[in-house]
Amino acid sequence: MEGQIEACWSYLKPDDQKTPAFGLIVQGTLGTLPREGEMLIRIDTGYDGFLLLSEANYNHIGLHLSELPKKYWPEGETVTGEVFRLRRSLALVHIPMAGLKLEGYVDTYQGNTENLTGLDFIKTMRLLLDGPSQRACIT
Amino acid sequence: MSFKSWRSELIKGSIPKEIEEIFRRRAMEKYGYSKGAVSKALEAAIKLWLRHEYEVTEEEKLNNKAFEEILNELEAKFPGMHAVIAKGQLVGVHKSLEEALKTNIKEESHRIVFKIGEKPKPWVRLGWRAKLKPVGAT
Repeated sequence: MEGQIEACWSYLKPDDQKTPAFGLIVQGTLGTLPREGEMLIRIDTGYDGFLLLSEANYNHIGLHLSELPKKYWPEGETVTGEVFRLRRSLALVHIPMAGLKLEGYVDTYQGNTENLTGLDFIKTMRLLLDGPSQRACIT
Repeated sequence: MSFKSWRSELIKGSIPKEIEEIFRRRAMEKYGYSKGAVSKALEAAIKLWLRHEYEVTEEEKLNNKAFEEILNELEAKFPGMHAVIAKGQLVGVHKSLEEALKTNIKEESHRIVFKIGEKPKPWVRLGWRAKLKPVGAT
């Protein structure tokens, strides 16, 4: 990661709490998410996977066409203790502002409407969460 | 999977007494001491159970069967490469995921892509944002 340009994004404020987020592009078999530009996706260190996408986004870019074998679909557990099966696919993720291209597992589950990046996503990065200026930066 | 409950049906079955007692008590604690609390809890439990496993299509079953059949051979011959399975057969083995994703789509509605030899962890903690829709109060 040395020698790379610092890339920063303002915190997202989807509801009552501002949260750190990245601008990224997810590449699936049928296209990219978003189609143009980048999409801000919240960082959630409570999620220990790579990337969680809503069912609609998962299907829209054709992640059902790069899915892992069913025996590798994990079980997910919510903070309230519900356990259920996730679908899991392989995808490429670009972070244009940081010049990064990552490959990892994208998860979804029935009824999911959230998009999140998790611990596996940030494990190779040096991150700065700048609280006073409400920005998340890859350094 | 979506659920529209415009009419109710009666389900009959038997469970051990101790589970029935805990279930009834917990149902009332959650949904109130009113008529319908047990039904609401039963509906929530069944929805959760249905959600636990995905229903897979015939094409998905075919691709997964092919995966099971060729896995040992792929692990011996192409460790670390990306395999693509469609229509119940291996259609390519590629050095990178990028190449594997470029495999031509014909009329498939499902494909399997995996890195040979890589076994992801079987369990994920979902965090505080991910949740299931509540069943609602009685």
